[in-house]
Amino acid sequence: MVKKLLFAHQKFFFLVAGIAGSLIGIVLLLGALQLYFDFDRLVNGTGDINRVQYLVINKEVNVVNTLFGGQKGFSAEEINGLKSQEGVIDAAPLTATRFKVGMSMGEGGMAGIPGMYTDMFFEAVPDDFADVPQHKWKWKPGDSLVPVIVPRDYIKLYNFGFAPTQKLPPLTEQMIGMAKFDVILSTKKGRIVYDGQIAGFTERINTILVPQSFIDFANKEYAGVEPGQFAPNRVIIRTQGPASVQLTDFMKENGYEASEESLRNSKINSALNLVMTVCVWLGVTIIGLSLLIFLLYSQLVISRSSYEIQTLICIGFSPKNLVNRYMKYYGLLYTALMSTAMACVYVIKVATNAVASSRGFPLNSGLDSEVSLIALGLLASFLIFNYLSVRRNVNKLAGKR
Amino acid sequence: MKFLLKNVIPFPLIDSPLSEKSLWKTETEIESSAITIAEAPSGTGKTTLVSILYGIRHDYEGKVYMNDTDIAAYSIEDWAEIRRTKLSAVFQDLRLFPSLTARQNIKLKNDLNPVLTDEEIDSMAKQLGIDHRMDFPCGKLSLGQQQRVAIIRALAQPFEIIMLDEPFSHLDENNSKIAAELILHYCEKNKAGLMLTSLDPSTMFPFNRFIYI
Repeated sequence: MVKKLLFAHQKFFFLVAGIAGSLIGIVLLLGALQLYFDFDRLVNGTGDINRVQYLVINKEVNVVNTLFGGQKGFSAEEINGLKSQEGVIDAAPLTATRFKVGMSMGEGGMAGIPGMYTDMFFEAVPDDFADVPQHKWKWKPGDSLVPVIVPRDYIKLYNFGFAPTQKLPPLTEQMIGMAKFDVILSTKKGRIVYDGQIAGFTERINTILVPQSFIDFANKEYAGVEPGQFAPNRVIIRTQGPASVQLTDFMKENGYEASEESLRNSKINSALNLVMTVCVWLGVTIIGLSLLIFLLYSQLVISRSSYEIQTLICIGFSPKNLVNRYMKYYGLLYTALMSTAMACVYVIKVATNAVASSRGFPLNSGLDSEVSLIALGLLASFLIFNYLSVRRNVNKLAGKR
Repeated sequence: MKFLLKNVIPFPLIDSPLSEKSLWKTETEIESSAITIAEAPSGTGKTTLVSILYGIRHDYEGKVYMNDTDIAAYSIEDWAEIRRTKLSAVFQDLRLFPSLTARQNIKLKNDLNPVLTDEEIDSMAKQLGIDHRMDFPCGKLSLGQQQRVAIIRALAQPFEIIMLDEPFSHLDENNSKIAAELILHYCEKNKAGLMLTSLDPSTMFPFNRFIYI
């Protein structure tokens, strides 16, 4: 009876327009987000868009500094400049050795591998940038064993490039990890020999790493170079997610380089971001407009029933009671609306999955929890806005001060 | 229950000449122990007085106290509670829902704080001679019939004071008498007071307090 009075003169056109508009808007927004999450997983692997990534940066090598030498390193200000870029969590220099380094393995150092000697180089990064468990990554003055991290690519290079041509057996990571070799430093103080052992493999940094403490000690002890005396030639940065557009622009401006592969993902990502941003804004705009229509609708319902509302309040109905009756109706309406929208998004998801998997891109089945959370958030904000509007209008009629 | 009006004057009447006997701008009490008649020519603020005491109008100067509390302090939720339990009214414009039947209009009120049984409602309708019109939409009833529906509705709640604003303006003498008896019966039952506003002195109720507006 009361409901009949409260909705005595509703305009169905507004209701239908609001329902249609918000359905389109919500499906567009949530569908775009779901597709974004799916494609991000496809492009970036794990699907965690915000996972931490590493990038090693150097300054461009050009004719001038080839001819005149003196490739300039990164100053402290330049490193800080990198740190302040969007998405960059931390930046640290790669410290190089200031003396010649070689590695030798005697006959029988590893089964089936002939003895050998090779010149090489070492670099170091702060320990928390290193890709191995911290307990395996320790060195202090007096230790004879130096742990070394090697890029995983080097093993591939050896196994599939070098070994077959030399008729050598391929090696596994475990086998290499067990091998002992000599690390030979050619310094002003003569030949210094340490024991070397591979502590781990990395895909993060394309260099041969030893602990920072070892390089700092050795540079000072054998080359008389204090830590920080030379500006580093390479810098490693840690970013939240792939490099941002801002960061890649900053690098371009300053003539910094990083490996193309890691930046390519960032390009795909920025294209994806653009498409996604357009869809999200379109969705948000449509949702905003339809929310407005709903608010207008509820306002109209109330103002057209103003005699009924005032009279109900006059005979003892509390405004709160009337507001709750309105909200019960809108709660049901919006819940039904959101459920329908989610069902539509799910259908779109199933369809995309079918298309994607037929082309060899398997996608996760089911909707992402973020999408459901946003749907819940939208539902809540619709209800809150509507509640505030209904309460204001009913109280205005009740008070009439 | 007691109303105390202190120097009250509705804004629209501020510049009008007031009669010497007028309650405006004086100190006047209206109590639940009395059967009060507020007599006045039209245009002097009878309906305004009822509206102020019922918490519908707030456009006045001065203070109105209900049991020592300034009624301006009541929230709209407080008023809802008061209108369900303490204060009842028959408005001059009746305030019925034209789309609902007479019975629905009464039930809507009674369901808020049930005091009347269906049988009581039927018996009241019968006494007032509208039992055959109870299931018609109020909009289709004559003004006299609507007035009787509004009277039954006003009695469908507990009250300490019932305010009647020209309640019999469309009733013949016989029906007015029956209605007055019915109202008095429920006033006694509720141990409640009554305030009637009327253009002319009425003999329907045993008044023991007279005020002039």
